[in-house]
Amino acid sequence: MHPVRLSVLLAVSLTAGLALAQSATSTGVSRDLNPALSVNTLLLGRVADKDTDAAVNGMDLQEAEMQFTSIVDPFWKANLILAVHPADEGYEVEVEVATIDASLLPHGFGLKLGKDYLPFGKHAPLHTHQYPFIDPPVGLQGFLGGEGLSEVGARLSHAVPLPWYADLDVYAVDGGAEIFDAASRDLVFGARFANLLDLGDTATLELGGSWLHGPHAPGFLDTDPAVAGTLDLLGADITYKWVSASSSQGPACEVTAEVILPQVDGAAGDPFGWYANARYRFARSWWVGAQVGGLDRDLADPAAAGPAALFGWDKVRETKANLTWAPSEFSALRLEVAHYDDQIGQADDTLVSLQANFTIGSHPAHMY
Amino acid sequence: MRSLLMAAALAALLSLPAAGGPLHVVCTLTDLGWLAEQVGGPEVEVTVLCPGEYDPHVLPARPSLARAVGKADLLCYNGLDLEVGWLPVLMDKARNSRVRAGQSGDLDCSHALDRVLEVPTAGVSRAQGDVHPHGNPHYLLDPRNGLRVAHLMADRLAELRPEAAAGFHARADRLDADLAPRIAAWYAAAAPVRARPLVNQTKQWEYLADWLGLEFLGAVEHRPGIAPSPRHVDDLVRQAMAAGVRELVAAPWNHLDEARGAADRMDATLVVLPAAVGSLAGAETYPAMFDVIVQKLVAAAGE
Repeated sequence: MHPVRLSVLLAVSLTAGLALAQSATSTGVSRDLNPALSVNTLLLGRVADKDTDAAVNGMDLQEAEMQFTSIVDPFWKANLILAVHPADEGYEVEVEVATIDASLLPHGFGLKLGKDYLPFGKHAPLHTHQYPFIDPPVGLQGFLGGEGLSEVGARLSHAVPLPWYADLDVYAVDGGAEIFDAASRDLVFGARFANLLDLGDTATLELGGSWLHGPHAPGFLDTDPAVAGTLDLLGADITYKWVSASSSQGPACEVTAEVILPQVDGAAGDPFGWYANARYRFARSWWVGAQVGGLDRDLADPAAAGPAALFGWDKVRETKANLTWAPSEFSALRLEVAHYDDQIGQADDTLVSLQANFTIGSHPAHMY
Repeated sequence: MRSLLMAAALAALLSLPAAGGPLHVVCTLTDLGWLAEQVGGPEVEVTVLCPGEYDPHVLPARPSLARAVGKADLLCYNGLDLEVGWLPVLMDKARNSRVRAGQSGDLDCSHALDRVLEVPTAGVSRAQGDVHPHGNPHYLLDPRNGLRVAHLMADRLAELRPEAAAGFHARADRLDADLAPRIAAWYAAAAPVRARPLVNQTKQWEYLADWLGLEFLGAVEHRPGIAPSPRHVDDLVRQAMAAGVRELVAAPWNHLDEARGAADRMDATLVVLPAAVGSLAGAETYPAMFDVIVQKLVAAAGE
């Protein structure tokens, strides 16, 4: 969308929203039933030591995410998230989430219909402002694309009756992301099985497994573009969390590791991606984090890999460290250094980034 | 319309607690858990989500807690947005239609109050910190409110299990009878504290102050959830010393290093009080919590 038109649209929407919110009951419009509204904004300033990707240098709006949440009626709860991203020319608006959740299914079943991030692994379902590091792990970007997989379809969830908390999600969606063949009439299917064990009142260990199956984009991972094929993505993840009970906003730590294994007919080698990261709250409002990760592919022409390319590199190792100051739940400043190594010593890159993250409005609590 | 009605009837049917056996009552806070046990007696099995030693504003929403919510016939919560950071997450994960908003298993205990303190009269803004837009939620630090909640619980339990209604109401009445003289005794015992200005670490004690007649000069963490600025602490220290403040009151989960530093500068005593059942040794029950609160305040005033 053209930036001027977008600005006008936003201005009109905001004005209309304010007008409605201030309406008295004599108008028949009550603000009591308005959805909960929130906006999260990410501002990013970044310097790269090479011109590997010119777009990474400078300052820009990384994302502005507008969320509308409400109970629809006794049967459904709805959630809409619109995200504004930089585009080649100005900014573009994308529907990240548009879902309704069934409220009254019996026996612990959950049903979600609409567009949402697929529950694949730990990182891919996160929204940008929830990322523990500024960019997604390179091992995931290489196979899922930079924005994760937000797809339209149906998702059924159920808490499996085990001695610990175990959740099974199964879904069927119309794959529209870059890694899928949008022209295919075949659906994408998948499942995630997450097990969460309490290690006392203050710590948990989560073990998760994910699987996804669907038609891949023509030429994905150097497959023959003329031949339609299917993609199976396998993923495994482990997360340890500890929060001290000694004081609110006291010491806390999170350690996560994840691996992703694409299985594609016709792809060369054994592609895989991985990362491991740790974050520690060492003082009130202060977090420090570190991440290592990697992406391994065998591409004849990495630059032509399209959606699967990060810097167009074949193999990448990443090392990141960041320091975050979060004076409240609603704002954070993050300084991050990320080093990307192309494994052959020709195109290594180091990025220094400063990100501002702030939320206004009534933002729903995040999942654990 | 007919299908809507059928769906509603089906939902209502699915929402009914299972007959026989104790009702599964899940309470967000230890105070509510104790009250539910007293009122419910053998008819209930109570699970508490937030241990007493945790700050209920920021409890990590471990999914295992959602399992408990998933089995609940009745969910009792403090309300006034105290649990807004974690209870909605647990509710989503629990997928328990019996305790969804508006169902008979959903009990916002703040509805028992006849008066909510500090309801903003002007617009609220997060420039004031993580404020509660519906008013101060720490009403259980006034035992009279605890009794109101007990009667509300009795009413709701009676709806869920009509055959045991008389028992629920009788136990709530007995709690009234047991606590009324103790409430009067606590009030009388707190007389030495009434005339003394106090400082608190966070805004937490307003209902206690309202009941006992305490006077709080200000809070070190004057914007909830935000670390205090050095200038604010300087100003507060000056005011406290001018007013002759001798005690700084904090909850166990407050940033006690900050509180201790401010108390030292005021030449005051840091008094850590139980802000929830189980948050300090000796405060294992709701009445015992007030025993400890009054004892500690009076002891500090006598030093």
